[in-house]
Formats: sequence, structure tokens, C-alpha cells
Amino acid sequence: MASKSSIHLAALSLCLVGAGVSFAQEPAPKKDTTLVLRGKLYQPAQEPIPDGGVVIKDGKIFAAGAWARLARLVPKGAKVIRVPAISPGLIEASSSAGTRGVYAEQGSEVVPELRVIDNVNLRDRAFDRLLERGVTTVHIEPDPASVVGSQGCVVKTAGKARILIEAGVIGGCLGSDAWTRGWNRRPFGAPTHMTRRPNTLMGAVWVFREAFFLAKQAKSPTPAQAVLRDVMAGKRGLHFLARRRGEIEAALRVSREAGVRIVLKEAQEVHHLLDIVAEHKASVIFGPLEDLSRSRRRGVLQPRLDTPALLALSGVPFCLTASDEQGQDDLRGQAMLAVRYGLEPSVALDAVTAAPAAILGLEKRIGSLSKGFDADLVVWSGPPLSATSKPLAVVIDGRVVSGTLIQPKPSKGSKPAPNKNKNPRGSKKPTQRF
Amino acid sequence: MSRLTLICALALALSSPAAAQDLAISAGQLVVDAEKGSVKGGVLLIRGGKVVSAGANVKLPAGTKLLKRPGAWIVPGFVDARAHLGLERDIDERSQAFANDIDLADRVVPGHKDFAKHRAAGITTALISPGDQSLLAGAAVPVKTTGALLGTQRVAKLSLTSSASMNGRPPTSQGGRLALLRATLKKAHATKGGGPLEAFARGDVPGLVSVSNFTSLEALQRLAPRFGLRLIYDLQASVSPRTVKGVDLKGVFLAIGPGRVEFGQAARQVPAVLNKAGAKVLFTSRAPYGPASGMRLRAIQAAKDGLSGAAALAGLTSIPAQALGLEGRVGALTPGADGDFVVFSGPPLDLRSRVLEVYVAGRRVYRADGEE
Repeated sequence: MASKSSIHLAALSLCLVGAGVSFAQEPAPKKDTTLVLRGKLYQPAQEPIPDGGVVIKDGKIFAAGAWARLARLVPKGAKVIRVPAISPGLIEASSSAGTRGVYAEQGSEVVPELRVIDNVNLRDRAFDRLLERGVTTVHIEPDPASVVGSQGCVVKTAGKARILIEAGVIGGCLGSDAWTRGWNRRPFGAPTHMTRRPNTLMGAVWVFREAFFLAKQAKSPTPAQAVLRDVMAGKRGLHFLARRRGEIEAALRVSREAGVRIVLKEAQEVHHLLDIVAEHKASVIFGPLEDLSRSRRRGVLQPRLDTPALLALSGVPFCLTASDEQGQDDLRGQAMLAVRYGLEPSVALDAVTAAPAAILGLEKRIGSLSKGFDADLVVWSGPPLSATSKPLAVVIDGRVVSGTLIQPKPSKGSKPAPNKNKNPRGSKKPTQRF
Repeated sequence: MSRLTLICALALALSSPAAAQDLAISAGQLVVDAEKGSVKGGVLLIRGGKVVSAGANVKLPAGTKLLKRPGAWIVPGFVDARAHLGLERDIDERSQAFANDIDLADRVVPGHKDFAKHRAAGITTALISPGDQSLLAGAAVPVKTTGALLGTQRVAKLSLTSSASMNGRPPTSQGGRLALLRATLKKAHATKGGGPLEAFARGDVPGLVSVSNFTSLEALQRLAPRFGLRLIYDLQASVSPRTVKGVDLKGVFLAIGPGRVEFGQAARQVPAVLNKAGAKVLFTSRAPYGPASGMRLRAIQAAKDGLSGAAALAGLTSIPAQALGLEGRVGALTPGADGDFVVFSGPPLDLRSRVLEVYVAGRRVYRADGEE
């Protein structure tokens, strides 16, 4: 019995040693964080530079531009990696990545104090899928089921410090979602907090108007009203979902009443109203563009495929979104579709990089390869907006987080490995077959 | 009437002050603190219900009789950070999101039969807690399994799971629950006095929070430093090593229940994974909804699947004591602590070992061959 106990003692003490090292610290970050890439450089709203490059130091862009000018800025001994094409990381301005199921609060129609980040799983595979497609930053928006919705967040799709904006702009919705998507709609039953009250666009407009009016009047504002006051003071943005012409007009009207500049989302019929949108100084997050044959709302909405080109002509600030559409309709696909229907390629690249950064208020940090910006970029196998190109590597904060920078090349000189099989089929003399 | 008399008599018997005389006991192995290993042939000396000294070289006062348990293991009494024992009928008041006036101390039945089951499993301290049906379901109360309260000490019981939203009142979503909690804590943080909510918001008492995913855990972790919250998470999430990847769990108290519901079949190593990520893993019984012995069984299983023996035993003793703010009093047999200990027939993490005796404050409250 005694010997058994001593064995167990030994086992326990061994375990204790294990417990001591289980809290081991992470390895210290590498000191040499310089990364130099040379290749065709695509900057937003600029002609591509055939022989360009980027110098990255400590996770930030140190320099970017034509190689002739850049070469002397490259630190001594730094390895220059040749790549086919470089562009800034793509920015998705309207997404629901990382959220699961019905996450809209049904307790009220006005919930600006809520935060989407509370429901975002940063380890969701959706972020990996976006990353593989060249998207480095995502704006996660509230579910459009409330007239005045919660606060969105901006996160990177990989890296260490992923949250850029924890609680930013609030969502608004005059689309049909806000007045048709309640739980347990019981038209003949007693109203409960589960029964959504506005059943029409008029009702939704009234809810919005009342919320902002009460927030303005309140002597001791509730947390929700404090957020709405921030919006009215211009400290916080408002992204308004309005698809049809009437909804867009209503959104512009009520926001002007509240003294708020808005960003329009999913405005499929915005092409009718470009003058008014410009006059209201509103911006547009446009998309997803759908091939007309695939349009789910065909017959109800009248979208035009050349709306991005028309937006560019009108001077309204806009960006493109895929709103989590996968496959050929991903964010790059949206830019490609816009080019197909008349948008300049350099402007289309701008509409998925610098323009969304500006709409999210991050134009001094991401969206372009400029000095001091976060080193978020994509290395492509060819022109970024070509259907035959694919992302080879994605870099976030100066670190390769997807793919590889150095591609294996088929070497010309080497012979194929000798076949050691003693009786290989190939070694037989070819027999004639008829 | 006779039942009431019996309960009163039992309560009186169990709560009467410990005998002034000393208790000295020696064992084959003595665990003073689970994280520091065991002492071969150690002696434990208890006076007035408190530990005087414990270890290999304990000087016994003249005339003290030494109880000998050769071959047995003496370990600190287990601390169960979530149980619902000693209660009758429903455990939750569901009408409000914040049931700040509910104090479970008002509801504990001292002679309840659940306590005997807990003692028999080697548990000497338990947090009697409300359930998950409100954002704040009230004040949980730590008790000795004799039925005696540990002074005025309380723990706030919170829940961020969807159960907190299923009672016909808002909020209905995870975002709504967190927003309401954030606003309520902000107000409560600045309030003096008040109930468990205010005490929790000021960081005066720990909060046991049920979470069903790591997203709400992370949201609360971001909030914690602002108010100085002391948090214990009762993990009801389905966990796989992938779910945990990247979550900052350094120093976070994570309670794991006895059932298998929380884990996928391939994820038995989860306590080890959480421990490796820096979390302080503790085990709970959730009695009477799970067996009282389930707590130790889960720790044994975790030790089999990668958790170190020391961490597994600490998860039954010292870690829950720290989490509940009871360190120095229970969970380890350090001088000055309560004389709560268990005599096992062998190593406590060996499935074959039995609980032979249980002592609370130096008094025997359980013996394997007959209730004391």
C-alpha cells in the first residue's frame, strides 16, 4: 500500500511540474519585421504602376510607389520579394460575418444602445472565407429588423488586434424588414413586446421620427437616447437601409429633419434619385449587384446594373458591398461586375478599398497603401479585377495571414525523378494497338 | 412536528461550537494545498475548528491523541461553486430581468437531505445558487454542507444565456441582454449600498455568470476592467479546441458542470485545453440536477484527458475557493483556515478511492460506515 502511495506521489509531483509550465508565455515577437514587395502596384483611383513596390516596417506601410523611387528606401540587407500584383486589402462595408441565427432584438423597435460586437464570434469560419478572397477589414452591421438598430463594429479578418471600431455607426431601416420581420405576428391577438407594431413604411417612419424627437427633448436621456444625441451631433454615423425609391426618399427626408447625414444601404433604386442624394450629402453603400436573371426581387425592385457607373458620374461618394454573397458575387466580383457595366477599373478598386474606408471613418488608417497606414494588402496573381487572377497571399498588419508570398516555381533544369520501379509499365516497349 | 424537531436538533448539533480540544490526525499522504503537492506521513493539527499547522513536522501539544489513518489521503474539503441544494420547489423568480431582492439565504433549509449527499461526496463548502432564468437571478449564498452559512458572504448570480430571455419579457437577444446589463451595471456601479447587483457592479462580490458562448464571455471580459468586476463563468457552451483558439483566458475562472451536455464527444480534453489557454478551471456539481459525486468524476476524467493532477485537484479545492473570494478560509489546509477536510482511501483522483470520512471545522460530519 505504501509503495503504491509513493508512486502516486511521484505522479502528482510530476503533474505539478507540468502545471508550472502550462502558463508559459508566448514567444517574444520577432524584431525584424521589415517586408519588401516588388511588383505591379494597384492603388485606388490611380493608374497601376507597372514596376512598383511596398516597404513594410513594424506592421505599417513605410513607403509605396514606383520602384525607381522606392529602391533607395529599402533597408540594407532586406530581402526583396517579387510578386505579380499588389493592391490594398479589400474592405467590406456591410456584412453580418461571425453572427449566428436571429440576433435582432425583438424587445423594442428602437435599440441603438445595443452593440453588434456582443454577438460576433471572431473565430467564425466566415472570416476565413472573406480573408481567402482578399477581404482584410469588415464592417459588421446590425440585423435590419429594427427601425433604429444597434451599433455596428469594424474588425479585421485576421491578425492580433482585430477590433478597429468596437461600437460605431448605428443602423436604421425603412426597408420592409423592419415592419414585417417580427416574431409571432398575431394580428388578432393582444400586442406584446413580441408583436411588431409598425406594419407599413409610414409606421416605420413615425417610429424613427418619434425616437429622434424624444431624444432631442429628453432632460435626462436614456442610454438609447444618448446614442441618438451622438448621432445628431455628428459623432456617430447612421447607415440607413432603404431599397425602393419611396423608402430612399423617406430616409432622406427624416434624416434631414433630425439633422443627420446618412449613408444609404442596399439602395437598389437610387439611380432615380441621384440629384437628391447629392443634395443631401448622403453617401451610398451599393450592392450586391445581381445579374438580372438571378435577382430575387425581380418585379418588385427595379435595379440597374450600371448604377455604380451612374453614382461615379453623379459625384455621390459610394462604395460597393457583396453583403456576404459568396462565389462569383464576392466583393471583388462586385467590382468586376461594376466594371463590366461601365465603371472605370481604378474607380472600381477604389470602391472596394479607399471608399469604404472613408465611409467607415477609417480613411487615415486603411484602404490605401500610403505611408503610416496599416500594412493590409493582397498579392494577386494578375490584375486584381481580372477574372483569371486569384489572391496568392493576404497580408494584415505586415504579417502574411493567408497564402504564401514566395510561390514555388517549376524549375526548368531539373530532370524528373528517376523511376525506381523495376518493372514499370512505361519501360515496356510500346506495343502497337489498333 | 416531529420532523421539524428533528431538523432543529440536527441543525443545533451540527452548528454547535467545535470542541475546544485539539484534533490531530495523520495520514499516508496529506495535501495541504492542491497546487503544492502532498506530504508523505503528514500531520494535521486543528484547534477550535481552525487549522493550526499541517505538514511533515507538526509538534503536537502534550496529551494530544493522534488519530492515525495509515495509507489514507487527507485533502482539503471540496468547494462546489454551483449547486442548488437545500432548496425546496422552484429556484428562480422569473418575472424580472434583475431579481435584485432575491437572497437565497432566506430559502436554504438547513437539514435538507441534499446536504448529506454533498458531505458523502467530500464536498464541505457549496455555493447555493439560483438558476439561469434572469439576467440577475439574485444573491447566491456560500454554505458549509452542514447547512451553516459562511457569514454574510454573498455571490451575485447572473446569466447571459438564452434562458434569461425566455420568460415573456425583453430583452430577447444576446445583444439586448448585454446592452441592458451594461447600462444597469453603469448605474449600479455608482450606487452605494444596495443588493447583490450593486455589490457586484462595484467589484465587492464576485459574480457567477452563466454563458452559452465565448462571444458573450469576451464581451463581459471587455467590460470587466471598467468596473473592476470579479467574474466566474459557468460554461454552458459547446466547446471544441477550435472555439477556444484566440480567446484571452489568462486568469479567467471557468466553471465546468458535471454533465456531458457541454462537450462534444471528441472534446473531453477541453478542461486541459482551457487550462493551457491560461484559464483557471473549476468543477461544479449542479446538484441536485446532477449527482454530487459528478464534480469529482469530471475532474478525474479531465485528469485522464490531459489536465495535470495538481490542476484537477485544485479545480475541486483551491481554485473555486479563490473564485468565490473564500481563499484563506476554505480550499486549502493552511494555518488559520477552517478545518474542513476529507479522508480518502487512496489518491483522490483515483476512481477506486472512496470517501472514508469528512470533517467540517474539525468535527466529523460523515463516516463511510454510517452517518454521524
